[in-house]
Amino acid sequence: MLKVHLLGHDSVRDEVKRFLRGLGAVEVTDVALERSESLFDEESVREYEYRREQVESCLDFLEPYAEKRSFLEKAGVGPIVTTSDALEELDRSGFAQGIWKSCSGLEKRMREARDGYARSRELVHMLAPWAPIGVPFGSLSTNRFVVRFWTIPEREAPGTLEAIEEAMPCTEAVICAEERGWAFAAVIVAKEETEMLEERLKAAGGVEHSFGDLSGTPSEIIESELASHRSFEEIIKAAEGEAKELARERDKLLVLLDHYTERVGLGSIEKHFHRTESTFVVEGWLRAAGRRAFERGIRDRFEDIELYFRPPEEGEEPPIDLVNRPLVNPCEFVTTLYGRPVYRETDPTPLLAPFFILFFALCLTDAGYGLALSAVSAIILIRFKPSGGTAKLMRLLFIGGIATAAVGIVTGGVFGIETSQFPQAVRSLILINPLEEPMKMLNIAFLLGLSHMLFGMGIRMASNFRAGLVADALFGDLLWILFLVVLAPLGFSAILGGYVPDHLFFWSKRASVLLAALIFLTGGRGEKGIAKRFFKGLIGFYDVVGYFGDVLSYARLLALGLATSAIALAVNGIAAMVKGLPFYTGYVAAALILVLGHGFNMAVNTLGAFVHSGRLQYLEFFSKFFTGGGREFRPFRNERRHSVVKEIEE
Amino acid sequence: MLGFMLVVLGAALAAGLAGAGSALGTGVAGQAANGVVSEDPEKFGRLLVLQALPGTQGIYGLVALFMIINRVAGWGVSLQEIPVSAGLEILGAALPVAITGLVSGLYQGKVCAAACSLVAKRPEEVGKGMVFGVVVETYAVLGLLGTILLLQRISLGA
Repeated sequence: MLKVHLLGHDSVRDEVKRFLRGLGAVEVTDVALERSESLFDEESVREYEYRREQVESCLDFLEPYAEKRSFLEKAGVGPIVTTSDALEELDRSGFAQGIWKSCSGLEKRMREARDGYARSRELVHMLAPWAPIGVPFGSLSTNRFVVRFWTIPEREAPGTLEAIEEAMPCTEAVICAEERGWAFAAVIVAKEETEMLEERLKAAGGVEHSFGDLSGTPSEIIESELASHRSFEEIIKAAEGEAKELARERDKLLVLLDHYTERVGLGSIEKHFHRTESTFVVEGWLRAAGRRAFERGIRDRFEDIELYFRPPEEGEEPPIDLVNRPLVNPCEFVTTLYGRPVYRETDPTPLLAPFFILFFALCLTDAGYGLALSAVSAIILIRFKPSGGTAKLMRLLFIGGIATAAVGIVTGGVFGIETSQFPQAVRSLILINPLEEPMKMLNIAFLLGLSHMLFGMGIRMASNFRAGLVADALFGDLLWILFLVVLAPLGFSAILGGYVPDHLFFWSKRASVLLAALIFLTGGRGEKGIAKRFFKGLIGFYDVVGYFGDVLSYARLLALGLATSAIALAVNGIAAMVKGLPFYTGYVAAALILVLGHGFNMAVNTLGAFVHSGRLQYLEFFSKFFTGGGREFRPFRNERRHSVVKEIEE
Repeated sequence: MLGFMLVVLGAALAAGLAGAGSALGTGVAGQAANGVVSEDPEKFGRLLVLQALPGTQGIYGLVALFMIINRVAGWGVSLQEIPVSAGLEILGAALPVAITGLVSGLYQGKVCAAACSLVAKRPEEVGKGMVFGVVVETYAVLGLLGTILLLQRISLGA
């Protein structure tokens, strides 16, 4: 990474901006001082932001009304092509504002209609039980009597009402309906007795209802509301139809969205420039490899621009851009998931790539699944042409699938079919069948794990040597690597009960004692005082527990591989059982089970293989040498997502 | 037959309880992860790895099961002839990984759920969150180690 400073005359500021955006190779850093802030044109950026928001809200609103294109159709279509003249025309004509006004109007209409419709439905629902009442709401009281509406718990209702009618003879109650455990009663009561009525009804658990400003009989109201429903529906349908018409302009809106986004980007980047009355300064990060192209581009287009490059200083943290060979590149997905290296660290991607792919293959262990995985990811890559992270993931899965196929052949797994069914040529390739020899496979997994860890420690040793920390490299790293190497056979025989030839065991024991002594003596290097050195040397041995745990962690390679094979076998077994069903339904059912079962198995175990292989890199491998914490390199560049601007050749 | 029954029980406990620990742990972590993704879907990949961390215990339980099967097969006797004492010993040997798997799986899940909150606020520190989770896993490792060591010592004659 290089820091680049560019100084130019104000008159070329705009062109330089466009050049930077087109080149897309410089991450602009902030060098604005107070004076330059006052020269920044906040207004126009805000105006473009506002217009962009309008376009975005229109697109959101119209999204449900746009024509649905099938997934395949969408994939085949490329970006919308437009010209800068057409864009200027669209912008000037106020197209966006027009559509926005229409969309807002439509949205309001729809909302009001929907709310009205909902309220009407609720009113109908509420009035329904009272429909039998033939008296309009307006005339519910006379000089001496009023009508009150009560709902009373169904069980209490008859008893309570009878009691009331006996006690207050001028009162008459009519039960209009009984539903949902309630009785709906209309009660005619003398005005002076209403309080007594309320007391009694409340005591029985009743609730009063009032229909304040309604007029007409309940059934009249219900009828008119129902009639209004149709008009609400028509309003909504008309509005939706208009929205569908507007949605046809979606392409124009997308083009404008890109245009406004670009304007906002071009405008707001100036916030980071340092400006004086007649000059401007841009500062940013540029990849060292891109320097020549950058310089040439500037010299070709501009005179009198001053450029100055310098490497990052002590304490500066440049952003990180990873570069790897095409085969290794997809594994960047794994690295960036965890984080990026700091500027002076090694890029772990090429180091983890072979291990990740191998572990992935061991976890998925089925040649059939591997080939299927590669096929699917290849199809996605070719047909849908994804970009960025998704593309890397697809390429990673493609390579992983091929590796899985290779490992699958070697372990005798192809869609879980019994190895005895294979032709002799294929069978001769099988090195080990994990289902038959799980312990042997487990030992292979541990061996791979130990190599992985030692490799990680070796990387740390190498970077310590390079940094001149020879003592750390020799006593911290090299001794430990050797120590673990000689401990391995001892651990293998004592803990795993494996076979180790006598003389190997003998020499390992000797060497481990010697190395342990050395580690103890050198563990306290850098500390003052015998007691501190003694103590530090001693507690250094606690790391052995950590290393042992790390090695055990690799047992998952066996377990996940076996899980895939076991489920594949089970799927085949079930399909075989089902095949016997009469009238060909057996074959259909078996085919269904095979497709769904193996599909599910493949999906779940691919996910597991990816996550666990990744976890082994992050926890057992990275912990030996990698810290991370780097920032992503984000150059100032063209961010059109939906359209492409082509200039018409005159 | 009782001897063999006890062997099966031991293997079942090893795989079952440790697997349960993983299920509980990944379940708790998964709930937290869902919460974070509801606000910021970009963090999905990192959170997925965090959720998978407590899955180790189930794997260790399965490995223990394999080792038990392997050990018993290595004796070369028919299933009926396995003495009750050997069966009980196998059952006992299965306990370390079963118990530590169950408990450490659940608690590692809680730590990973907290790590999901960490990633929500500081996505670049996901490594530190993972390390916290792995410390809990140490005890599952020790449990597996205990089971392996004990299994080695069990033979028919004892």
